[in-house]
Amino acid sequence: MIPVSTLLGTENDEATTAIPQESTRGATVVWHVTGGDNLECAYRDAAGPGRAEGELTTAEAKGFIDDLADYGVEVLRVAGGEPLLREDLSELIAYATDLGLEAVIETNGTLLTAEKSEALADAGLSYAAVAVDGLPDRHDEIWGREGAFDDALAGIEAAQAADLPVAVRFTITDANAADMEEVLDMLALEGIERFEFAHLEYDDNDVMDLDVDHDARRRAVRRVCELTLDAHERGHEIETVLSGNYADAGYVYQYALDELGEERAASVRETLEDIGGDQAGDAIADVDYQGNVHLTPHWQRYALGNVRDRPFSAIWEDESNPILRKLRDREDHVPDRCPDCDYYAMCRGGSRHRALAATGDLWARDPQCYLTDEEIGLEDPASAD
Amino acid sequence: MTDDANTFEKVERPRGRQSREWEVFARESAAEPLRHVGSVTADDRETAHEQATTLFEDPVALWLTPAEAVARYTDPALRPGETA
Repeated sequence: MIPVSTLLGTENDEATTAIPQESTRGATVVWHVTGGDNLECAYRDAAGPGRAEGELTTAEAKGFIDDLADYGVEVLRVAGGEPLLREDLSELIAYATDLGLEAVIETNGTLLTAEKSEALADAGLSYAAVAVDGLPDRHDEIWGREGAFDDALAGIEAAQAADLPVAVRFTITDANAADMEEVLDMLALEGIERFEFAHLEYDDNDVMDLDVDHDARRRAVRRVCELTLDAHERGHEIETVLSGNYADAGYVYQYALDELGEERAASVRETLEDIGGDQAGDAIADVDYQGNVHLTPHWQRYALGNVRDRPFSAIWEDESNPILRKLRDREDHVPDRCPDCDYYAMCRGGSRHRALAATGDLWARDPQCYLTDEEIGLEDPASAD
Repeated sequence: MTDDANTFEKVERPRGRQSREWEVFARESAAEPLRHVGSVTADDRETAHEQATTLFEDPVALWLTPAEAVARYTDPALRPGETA
């Protein structure tokens, strides 16, 4: 993730957050606790209603969490399906936080009742990231049910009443990019202080078709930077992060250079290089509800192994797997212009999974890289197409 | 690991999501053993092969088997929520 408010804010801002230590192997594990969902989101795999077959039992889940804690995982990001469908969710969160893990959930918010919010807060959940993907009609359309927006807002209010911190997660698509600013304004007034803007990841053409083009993506990222600075200048120190596309790192650096000057930009660059770009197969891992271990959260069609066969830690350390090995040594494999890009250290060639999904070639250019050859410092500029 | 292979337990939980899971084995060179290198999700064998070929570029051998055809016997000590 790219912590925009931390990068562009000042030391006096209260909203600056700790820089994620993403370069530590296996620092963050995304765990889909259930394959079931209560809504059908347009940009995610259909999961189906109710609990899914083969989910880790409570005892298996605790054994899995034990291994994560022993291995040194720092953040457990609990996703779904819809994680609130699991009745033992608070028990598992409490188990993880007792072992020293930071726990976060990604939810559509519609099942976030007062009772569940209190239980999650008591369990030590750091925050609930609630998906809000547009103004009401747009959000309802994306999530496939009239009233989904209102229910998500009710969930947010229930969480706030229980002192459970809430972040809003907005996934940028062609359908909702224009709503971004109004959603942020509306929810900032509701007391939301953290906003996660995610780029689209996809496994198939139907979802790929929802993606924005390069110009719209560039505008959206610029708008996130501008909204962050505007809010901070007005004394409203919202926290903003971008996720899913490390081309943004180069863009945010350029923005800092233009708007804040060379000295501040140098500091931004240093921080972005510390974060280290795309971490699929390295600092970020994914485990699905059946225990299959994946290289990154949206890359579900390939699994390294299964935690029912051997522990996550053993799977993640096994570099006899050629893909894992190559991803960790990717500079020798990344496509054409990446090795010579000025921003390689803060991007690492972008999303290999997205390249695979869009082109059928794991080592092709990330289709979401919108930076031109000139911007990335190539001597013989062509154009990013 | 336990000492006695007879204590291994069969793992009978399903693998795979909306479509079938295929276990993939690859040999990187003639001198190396065939290794399990993960699994791919695909409706049919041809698609599974295509996916595996895309991921593993230069193996000298690539074997695929439907996950449900693999009888998996695992030492309980390696399984979550179990103690040896």
